[in-house]
Amino acid sequence: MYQYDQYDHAFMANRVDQYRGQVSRRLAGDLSEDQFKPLRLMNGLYLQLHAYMLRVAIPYGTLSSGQMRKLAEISRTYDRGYGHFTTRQNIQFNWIKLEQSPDILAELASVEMHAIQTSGNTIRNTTSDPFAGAVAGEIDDPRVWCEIIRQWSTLHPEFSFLPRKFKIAVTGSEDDRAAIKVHDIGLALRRNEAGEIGFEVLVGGGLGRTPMIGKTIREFVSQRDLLSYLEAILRTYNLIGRRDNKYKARIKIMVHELGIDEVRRQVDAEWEHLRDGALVLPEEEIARIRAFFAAPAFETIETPVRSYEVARFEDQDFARWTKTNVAAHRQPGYGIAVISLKPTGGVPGDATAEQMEKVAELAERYSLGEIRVTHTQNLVLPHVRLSDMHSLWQGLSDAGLGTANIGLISDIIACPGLDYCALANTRSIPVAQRIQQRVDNIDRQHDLRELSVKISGCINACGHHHIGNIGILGVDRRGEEYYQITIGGRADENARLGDVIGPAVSYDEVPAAVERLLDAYVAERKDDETFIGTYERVGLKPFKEAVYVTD
Amino acid sequence: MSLIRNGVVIDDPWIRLDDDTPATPGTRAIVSLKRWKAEKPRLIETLAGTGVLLKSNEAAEEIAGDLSVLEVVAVDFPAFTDGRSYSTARILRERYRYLGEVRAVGDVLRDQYGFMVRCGVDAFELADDVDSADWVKAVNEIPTAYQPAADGRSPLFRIRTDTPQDAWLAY
Amino acid sequence: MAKVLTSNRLADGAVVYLDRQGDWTTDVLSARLLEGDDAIEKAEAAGRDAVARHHVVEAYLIDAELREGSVYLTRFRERIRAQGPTILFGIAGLKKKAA
Repeated sequence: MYQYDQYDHAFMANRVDQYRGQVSRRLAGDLSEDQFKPLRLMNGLYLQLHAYMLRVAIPYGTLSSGQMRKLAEISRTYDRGYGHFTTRQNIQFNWIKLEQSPDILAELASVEMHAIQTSGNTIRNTTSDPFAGAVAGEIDDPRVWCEIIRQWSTLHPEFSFLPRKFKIAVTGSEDDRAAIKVHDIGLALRRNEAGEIGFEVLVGGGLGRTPMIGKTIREFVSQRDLLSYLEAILRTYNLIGRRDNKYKARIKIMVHELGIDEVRRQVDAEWEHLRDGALVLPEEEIARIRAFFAAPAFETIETPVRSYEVARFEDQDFARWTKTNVAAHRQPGYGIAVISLKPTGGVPGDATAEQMEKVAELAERYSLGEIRVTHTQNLVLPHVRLSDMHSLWQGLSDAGLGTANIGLISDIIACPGLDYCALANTRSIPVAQRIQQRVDNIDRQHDLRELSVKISGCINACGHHHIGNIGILGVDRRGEEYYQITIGGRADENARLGDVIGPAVSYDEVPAAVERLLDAYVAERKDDETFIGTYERVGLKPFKEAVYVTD
Repeated sequence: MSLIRNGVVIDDPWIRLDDDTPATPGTRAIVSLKRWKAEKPRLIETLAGTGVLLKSNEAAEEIAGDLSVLEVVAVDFPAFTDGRSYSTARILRERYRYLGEVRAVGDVLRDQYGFMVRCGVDAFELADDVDSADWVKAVNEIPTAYQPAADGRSPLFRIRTDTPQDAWLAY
Repeated sequence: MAKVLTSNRLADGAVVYLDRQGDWTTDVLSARLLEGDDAIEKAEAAGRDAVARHHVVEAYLIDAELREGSVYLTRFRERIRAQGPTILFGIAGLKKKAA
């Protein structure tokens, strides 16, 4: 993974000093809250329901054991001993004190981490496929490009006061595990006819109040031209994106209102001035960054790996875990291990300091010291020898991290909701817990197959409910918690927004409503169909009737 | 109100002329784009120096052909959250090679001086008195540039690879 | 509907309420119940003052009433804000009601 050089370190030190100065000025009253707020947001510090919340960037979801240990230490020293992994591959601490935040940033800088631009009307964390560099069939490692974009977008002087936040995601595989179609800019690595590697560029995707699927603005942009093309898009957005209405300020609205053809025309016109200019990255720099993401020295391992197969045969619980939590690795004899942060009754995406340390230790021992964060609020150890998989699983299970539910119904995505977030209408976490309790039988979960449930506590959709097979959106009805349910959403390369099934149901009614959706699925499904497959075949009617049955 | 230009606090040699006030001969005045478009020849003839104020929704393209007679272009930040003029300043410098004064006016905060300088702004009209030393300090808080902009500073990727500066960059 | 004036302390972000002494307390039960325009105006002035003194971030009124002799915040959101998250995790638990 990327390592800072002297320039990166110098930058980070200056940045922390600058922020320290800003905090001092605020505490002394030299800056008003209005003046200070965008500055603290540019360093990821929100004022939330209970306290300040710090969102630490985990660039493209990749971190080392050492970095994970530091996060554990920070959670202990400055917070309440736990952290929350988010749907944009970042981590949040909920109980931060403003006066300590400069020290926290200094601690983060010591392990090459930061909270820059994790908030504010800036270019945010560029996210990617958590399996990047480990999965077979990638055209190129998307993280190389995420790092290039990260540096280009860091403290970009022209784009620090955009109409609204800006989110970019990059995928390198045919299977889109980065949800690029619901990002402001989505980049898919592609090969052109000449066999050159470049990018298909999509714009205007996003969730929230007006969810939209991104549209292709350019079929192919070469590696050489990537940054100048991104600059052309950002400049166009900066100049003509709406600034009159906060809820209409994202680029998706600009694309919707002008049409993709007009946006393309304007971006191309701007690009004419920028391409072949100062943003053409020297080959050496691309090579320098690429070197950080070179494949590790994998061992040559004969397959099948006997000890792994034996362990699966002898230990049913382990076997079940490998079914859902181990994905195929590009290197024979290795596997990608997914760590579930969704135990029944737990808090989706949360990990205690002890659990973080355990993950760090296991990563060191079994995964070459590397960890990933998914945007389904789970963790990944990307390079595990199959012969180590059983020991790994035992280590995880000891720490409450061995839940075998990746992709199953209990692998719920839930935003922090009204329990933590000042923007929320309703709670999400207890809704997730109650659904999990309803389907607690693991055999039943396997029978239900892949099924994504995503819960957002408000229209801002941080829980990505629009792209859940079952989406649950909290709404406020006369001070009571109500939930609108959608079905049929998808996050992958066939991304689709869910359809509302009917009137919102109360907090108490949600688990039963979900239960009825599951019953309808089981009744209607054919062969190996998943929930989404059945929905796409039979449509809304059977599901709607199951939930809103008139007695 | 104070004016700081290239790090030095100076008396402002320019006056801001609204759309209705007649132009006094021999003065140097900044006018709105609207007035500039309506009265260009007369202003050039009457005034000792001409400048234009671009609102944040007014494009640099509108005055691209006039830059040789404009000694100053003021770019407005009506609210510090309105970031359009950063782009306008860069376009003036990089696309049109404008060498006159680019002046930031409006809601300009100390923590933005650095961004503005990088976008090609060289003068700042500020609501309060400013200390020159503090201004310089604020501008230089982050000396590292990760990306090229209008200030001619080499972006890190060039420093790292020791690639010579491209000749076409302004400044 | 009676009110309570609340805010967050600037330095540490703690949720605070204007109390009967004119101080800012983390204990919602000690919050000053504001009844009538006069009481509300006085409280808002105290809020503006605390913001100007950079002690708190932004003071605002929330709905409250007296229930069985104690201050009760009518909005669920504000009760969560006073008591902490409704779900237990790690060492989060319920926020202690310290003065």
